[in-house]
Amino acid sequence: MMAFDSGLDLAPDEALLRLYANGDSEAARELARRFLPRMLGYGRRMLGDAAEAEDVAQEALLRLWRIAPDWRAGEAQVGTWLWRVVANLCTDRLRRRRGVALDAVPEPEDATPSVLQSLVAAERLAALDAALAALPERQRQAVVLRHIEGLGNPEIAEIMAIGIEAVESLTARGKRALAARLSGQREALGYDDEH
Amino acid sequence: MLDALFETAQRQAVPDGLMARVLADAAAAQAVPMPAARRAARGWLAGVLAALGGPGALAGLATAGLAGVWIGMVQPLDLPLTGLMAGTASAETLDLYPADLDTLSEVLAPELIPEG
Repeated sequence: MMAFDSGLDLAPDEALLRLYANGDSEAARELARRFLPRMLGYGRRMLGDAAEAEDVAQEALLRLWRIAPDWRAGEAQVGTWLWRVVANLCTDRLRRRRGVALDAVPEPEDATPSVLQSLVAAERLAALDAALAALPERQRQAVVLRHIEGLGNPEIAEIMAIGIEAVESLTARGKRALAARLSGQREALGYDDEH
Repeated sequence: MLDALFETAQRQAVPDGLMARVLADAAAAQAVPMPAARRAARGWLAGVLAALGGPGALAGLATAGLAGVWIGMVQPLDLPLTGLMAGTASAETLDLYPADLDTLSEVLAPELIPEG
């Protein structure tokens, strides 16, 4: 049993989903371990609210659990499907908030002390999140998926339902805007001795 | 600086409570039997197929039916097979070599009959 369990971390996402559908609860744990942290981070940065981000991540995985018995092999990547669900859930929540002033949106809460190695790291994250929050929604979405979650442009294009060139344009503009916004805080964030 | 910030941001922790809620959802979804809507969507044909023993059984039935039609169409002689099998057939009904065979040959292939 141990050998089987230890093999789960090497199994493809789709194989894990099939195992889960066949009654393997450890497969669900492995899928959650793979996707939950990233979806949570994405949700926090898109929504600026840790509790809402948790709700979105939980809801996205709930939809995955429910669709598991009907999942059609090879039709979609599990990761891409999940990212699309998370992105749509975040977009829905942001639309419902429309009309609320940007200042009224709570500053991103961040991580527990166990995550953050130091106060400096906390300040850096807070500065990044604040700068991200100031970006237009689509730029923020593209930048977070590309540069924080590490997805490729074709997958981001699929998630956002746009072309690859549009993704490149959004990430480039978003990154320029972030750099401009953060440049004044270089010293305060402890980057003064770095290039 | 930006890339270093991105790298820092990639390290996210999941609150224990959230992981527990997600796994509880997974267990609950696993325990739910197939929804009634999905069962209904499968329709009456699936029910009939299941009653017959699945699609394989249906294929067998179709093959048997076609074989029956074929046997009925190509049966060459109106032989009293039931009598033959029961052992009640008379010598007359089993007369497979009629005495007027010459006459029959004349009718079917007169050109083969030598003249004279």
